[in-house]
Order: sequence, then structure tokens, then C-alpha cells
Amino acid sequence: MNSFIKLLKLCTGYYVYDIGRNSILRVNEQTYNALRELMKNDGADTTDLRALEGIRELLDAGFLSENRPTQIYNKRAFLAREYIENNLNSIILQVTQDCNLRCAYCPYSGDGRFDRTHSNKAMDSDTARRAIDFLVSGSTYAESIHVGFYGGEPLLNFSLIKTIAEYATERFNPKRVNFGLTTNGTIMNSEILDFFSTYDCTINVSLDGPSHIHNKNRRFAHADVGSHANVVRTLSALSERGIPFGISAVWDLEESITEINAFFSGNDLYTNVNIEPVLTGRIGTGYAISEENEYADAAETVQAMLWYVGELTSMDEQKLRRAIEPITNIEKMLVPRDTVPDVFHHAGPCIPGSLRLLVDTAGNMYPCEKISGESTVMQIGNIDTGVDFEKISQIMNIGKLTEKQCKTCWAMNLCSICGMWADVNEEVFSVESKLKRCDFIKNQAKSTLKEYVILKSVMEVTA
Amino acid sequence: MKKACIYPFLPDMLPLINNPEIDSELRIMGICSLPSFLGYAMKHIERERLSVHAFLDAECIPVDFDAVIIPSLDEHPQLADDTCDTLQRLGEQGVELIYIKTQVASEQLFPDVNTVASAFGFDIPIVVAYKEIDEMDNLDVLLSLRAEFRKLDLRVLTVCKSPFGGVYPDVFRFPASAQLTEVPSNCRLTVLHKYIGNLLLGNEYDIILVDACDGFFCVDDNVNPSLLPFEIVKCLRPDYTFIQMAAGDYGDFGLVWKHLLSSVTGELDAVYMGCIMADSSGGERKLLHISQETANELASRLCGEYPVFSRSTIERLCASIVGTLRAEDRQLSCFAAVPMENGAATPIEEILRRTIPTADRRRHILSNGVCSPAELVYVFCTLKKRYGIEIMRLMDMLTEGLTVERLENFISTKGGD
Repeated sequence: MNSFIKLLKLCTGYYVYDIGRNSILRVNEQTYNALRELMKNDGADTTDLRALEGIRELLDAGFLSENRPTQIYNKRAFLAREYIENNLNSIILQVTQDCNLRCAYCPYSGDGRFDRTHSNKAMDSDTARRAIDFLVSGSTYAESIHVGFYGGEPLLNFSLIKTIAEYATERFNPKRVNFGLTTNGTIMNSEILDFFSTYDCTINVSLDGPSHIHNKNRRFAHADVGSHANVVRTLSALSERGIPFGISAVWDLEESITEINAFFSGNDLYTNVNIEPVLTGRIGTGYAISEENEYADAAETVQAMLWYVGELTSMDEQKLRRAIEPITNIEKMLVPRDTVPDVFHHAGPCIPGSLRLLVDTAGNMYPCEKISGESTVMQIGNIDTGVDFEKISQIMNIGKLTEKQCKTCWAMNLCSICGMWADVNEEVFSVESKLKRCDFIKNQAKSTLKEYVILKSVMEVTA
Repeated sequence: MKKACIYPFLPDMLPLINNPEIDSELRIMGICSLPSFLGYAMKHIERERLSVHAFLDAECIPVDFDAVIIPSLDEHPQLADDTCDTLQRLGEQGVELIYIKTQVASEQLFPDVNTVASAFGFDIPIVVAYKEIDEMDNLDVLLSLRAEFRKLDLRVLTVCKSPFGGVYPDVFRFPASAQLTEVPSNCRLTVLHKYIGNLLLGNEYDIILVDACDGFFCVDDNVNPSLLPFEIVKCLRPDYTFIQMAAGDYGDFGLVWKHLLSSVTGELDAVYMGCIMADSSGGERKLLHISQETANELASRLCGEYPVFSRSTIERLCASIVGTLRAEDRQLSCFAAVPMENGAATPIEEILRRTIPTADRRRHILSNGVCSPAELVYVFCTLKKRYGIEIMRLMDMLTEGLTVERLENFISTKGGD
């Protein structure tokens, strides 16, 4: 018997994840053990096991199917045109590739193998206007518009930001336009503050915590000194003018998360703080989490999970929600269906450009700001030549690259791999790079799935 | 002719704009729209002909317009509140306020339908529009369908909740009052009687288009609106041809379908796909406006040949949907409560013991190989259940640095009591 299932033995009981039906079933120990025997598929006579009441019941209800998808194809691909030609609502303009800092973990400061390097390239106003025109034509049904400014450090090209804000406001009138940028917080003057006061702006300032932690990584390019004092000055100026802002903190895994949390919670200036661990996956840096940090991080997850199962209340639900995100994401993916589809594509790829279309300084378009500006395979068009829907289809069908593995992968419904993970700045996608990511994703999916099932079971019992 | 502005603009006002002949006294020159309908308005209204204002710009109304047309706000009570002051002011300034009732409902409809059914014996196809995502989609499709059928010289009766669909092309006018939702009660009966009257004249039509709008047929909030038109049609004639018109949820190929087909399994002959769909495949549910071409492709992917599908195709679809529903039932029951620590659940002591050597019992409980965060949640909840220990007390221990040994000691003393 070669059912398309995954067995889970957890502290709360025995479970079968039926991949075809995308459903998790609680079974008793006898059924679990019988299924384990059946899955060995070693040629032994399994008639008796199949006749077990628990197994028979599942088979009769259409579970335990041995079918796998016969073709890997993303059925949403044909929707790309609909999204991009009528349903866009945001665009991100890379107004400059330059930055006055050289942060240790920044992909722009890396070796350029996977990512980008700083340059003095800046977007000109003609390109920016055409990008806005592109969004106007593609946002017929949008209720409101978001224009993001991205860098490098976007405020290095403030004159362009100002010009484009005026232009976009006029072009989209009477729709509401929100502008967003994440800044390193070292460039601020009264003109910029006036701009933030005038327009509907979502501002995120990067601050990693107390000065010794922040300054360790966030250092000026022209002089090897930290930028903490400048950032704090900027935050104070924003606060004095009553301009709302959020703080993005990158957690250097070697630094104490407890100390970072204490820093932010000890000052009223820092009310909207989002702490994300440094992304080590793509920049190849050697940040390793300490045991103390691992414990503190896990303890926070426990707190969030207790909140999730209804055992704790908290003032900071937003923070807890973020901590529980992997669980809630997997919950969204577990939508039951009647059988495994013949044609299937693993979860992961978005419709490139539909959510966070990035236009770089030269007018090239990419699915989002996470993609390397050097990428050929992920470039989905250009402001002059338009969108390359064939390319979008290829990116959405990244599973074809590993069709054989994908057809039999137990994590196909829970996958989060997109084209970015198969992009190694070459002319074609890399199978090896994608498969390398597969191992990580499967481990992560298995772990999160287990946690999800335990929590659901706890919720059932405590309800 | 009076210059009029629609305030606030709602999508079901579009036919009024597109059919200026409906009212010879008014000339609609502008609309004032909520943000959520701005895109729709800007797409479907010629801005050269009409000015489009954002909702917050209502101040401009008295300058430019003689009259303000107010749609029914029954389904938008908040909107009624938001607009009330402005309308009051406009009324005081002499602007004519015209309230248009687009929603009709009657608690007396159902008994009457049975009466109608017995008198109604025409074998005509019926198109049923299903209201799922957005009423404006249904209205658009109804109107476009009507145009298509008329091209074929078919006589078409359209039943929908907009007053401009065909059954009751009159614009109902009421003097606006401070309480906008107050509508003369006889209005509903008037509309209802017109509806039934037209049904009785059904032999004038080749096709009846029915909008399965909840506002029209709902008798109370507990009734599934998608079911009601089918109930009505069943009353009328059991052998009609059904064409299902639906907005689709591409995420799982048809959340719409399962609701619908669970109530009409085996009675559907064809499918028509609307132009607004909910795409929830990315996790978040997003309304997506699609072209008719795409909608047709989607419909054909769902059911094979488009636009006329065989009964066997539909039956197959029904079967698969019913299968999905069963799977969902199973999914719901899979987490049926079992007493913790009974049956298959592992005693928490066993979780703590695991394979950890005695010497390692001073390790942090969340160290790799001891407890995962969810397992610790299970342990905490079990302790709470078993000894009534407050979760906050356990969290305090966790913050201080909880080891296996410390928790075992804690358990052995039942929380120190």
C-alpha cells in the first residue's frame, strides 16, 4: 500500500495527514500502527491490516488514496494578466541603489553572488513617471494605491520622491494614495519632515536596539562609525512633529534578544517595533543563534501559542500574532479537498508583480523587492516594453523544474518555495538550488504541522 | 432638466447612469463615491460625461447640482449615518433630495409564490443568478445576458433587485427624511405585486433571468439566500432548465459551488461564470475583477464545454463537491475532543522524561530534544487542568529559565501546594 499520507505520532495522539485530501485525521493507536506497517510496502501480505475497521473506514470515506498528481502545472497562471492589467494597487520604485551605510547583513553589502551590490545608479524622473503611469493603467479596480520607495537608502533621492508623490497624487485623484519607505534614519531635514507631514506616508526606520548592538552592524560607508545617534535624533524629530513611524529592527542572532526587547520596551518613543531575525539564508553570513537567544525566542513562541489557544491574554496581540504566524499560515493552507488533483503545483509562488511589483532604477520590473536586481530569470518586464507574461508563467511554474520530486512530495500543500530560491543569477533557474531549499522547507513544514496539530488538539480539549 | 448627483454612489446605481431615458426630468452629472467603489465607478463611467468625486468631497454638491439622488442604504447603516448630516444640510439649502429604493423584501412572498406556482405552467428556461461575491457583478451579468438574449430575438424578463432590471423599471421616489431607512410600507407590496404580476405574464417571455439576491427573497437572516431562488423555481416548475451564474472562488475551485450545489444537486444544467471572483489561493481572500474571456475559460476548466454543459458534467461536478463537503466534515471531526492523557495522549511526565539522561535534566526545557513550544503548551494546559495551576505562574517560571528538573520538582509538589 502506497497511500499519499504522512503519519504523525504526537504527544496529543496519533494522526494521519492525508495529502490528497489535504486533511488531518485523528486515528487510534491500532490504526496508526497498521498504517505504519502498510506504508512499509515490503511485499508482505497486508490483507488483514486492510481489513481493520479503522483502515476500512478511512478507505470507504475516500482517504488513504495512492494517487499522486500526474502533471505539475500552476492553474493560477492564467490569472496573471487579470491581476496586472486591472487589479494592481501598489508599486515599489527603487529610487536609488546607493546607500550611505554599509550594514554587515545587508544583501547590498554582500559578495554579490546571490544578491546586489551598491552602486550610484538612481532612477530618473521620466522612468518614475512612466512607472506611475503603468500603475494607473493597471489599477482600475483598486480602492486605494500604495507607492513604495526603495533603495539603497531612498532618501538619498528625496527630490525624486517629492516629484513622484506630487505626480502620483494628481494621477490617481480622487483615490487615496499612500506612500511608504523604509529608511536607515540617518538623513533628515525640515524639508523631508514637511513632506512626511503633507502626504499620507508610512515610514519605517531601521533601528536594531541599543547603540552597541545597532552600531555593530549599521555603520557609515564613508567613515567606519555606527549610526545609532543619528537614527535616534531622527526618531525624536519625527516624534516632535507628530509624524507616526514604525521601527524595523534586524536581530543579529548573536546579540541578546532579551536586551533588545528591554531597550524597545523601556522607551515611549518606540511603540511600533517589528523585530525580525537576520536573514542568513541568502546572504551567506555566519550569524548563529546562541543558546540563550534560542531559549528566549522559544519562550516567546510559547507565550504566543498560549495566547493562540486562549490561555493567555495580552496587551500586545500584534506581536503575538507575528510570533504565531507560521501556525496561522499553515492553517490557511490546510483547505480540505475531495481528492488529489491530477494537475497540481505546490504552494509558494505568488502571481509575480501582483503584490509588490518592483521597478528598479533602470525601469526593469521584478516580482518584489526581495529579488536581486541582477536576476535575469526573475525579471518580468520593463516599463518600456511592458510585462512579459510568458516569464511570469515560467516563474509561477517553478515546480516544473523539479517535477519528479514535486509529484510525490508530502509537503506539496504546505510549500513556500518561489522562483527566488532557484535563482542563482544565471540565465536559467537552478534545480540544485531549489532542491536545497526543499529540504529546509520540508523540515520546517513538518515541524510546524506537528505544532499546529498539538495546538488544535489542546484547543479541543480546553474548549 | 435638473442636474443631479448620486450621493453616495453604489454600484447598483450604474444602470440609472447608463440608462438616462429612465427619468426625463433628471440629468445625472456627477457621482460622489465611497473609496471602495471609486475604482469601479472610474472604470464604468465616462468621466467626460460625469464628474467623479471622492466621498469626502461632498461639500461640492450644492455648488454644482440641483438634486441629489440617494440610493437605498438599507445594507449600509453606517453609511446612512455618515451621509445624514450632509443630506440634511443640502435639503435645507434647497437641493432636491431623491431617495431611490433599490432593495425590496417581503415576508409575505413565500406564501404567495405557491399561489403563483399553481398558475404558472410555462416551459421556459430560467437563468438563476447567484449572489455570492458582489451584487454589482450579478447586475452587470444580468444586463449583458439580457442584451445577448435579446439579440437572439428572445423575449426576456429580468428579475433583480435593482429597479432598472426590467420587472419594475420605475424609479421609486420618496421625499428624503432625516431617517433615510424609513420607507413607506406599501412600497414593498407594490413592488412585490409587480413582480408576481410579471411572472403571471410569463408567457410573454422566452427566458426569465432571476437574480438570487438575498435582499429580495430573504425572509429572515437564518435563511440561506442562495437556496431561496431555487426553492421558488422548484415551486414554479420542477423541470426548468437551470443555468447557474456564479462568481468563482478559484482558490479551491469553487467555494461558491459547494454552497450552491449542496442545495440543488442534480438540478443544474449549465453554468455561467461571473466576472468577479474571490481568489483565496494566496491565503488571503482577494476580490479579483476578471474579463469575461477569463471567466469563460475558468468555467470551461471547471465544467468542460462552455456555455452549455451536459447534465453528466454537472453531476460529476456535484459529486466532487459533495465529496469535498464530506472531506470537510471529516476534517472538522478529526479534532474531536478526547480527554487529555486518556487514550493516545502521552502523559506529560513521559514527555519530560523522554530520552534525556539524568545529567541533562538541568537543561532548559525548550532546548532541542526536550520540548517543542507546542508540547510545552500542552504540558502547561495539562498542569492547569490537573492541578489548577495558573498559566501565568508557569510563564513566570519560563521567563526565569525553566529546566526539566525544575518542572519535575514543581509537578511532584503539585505546584508547591
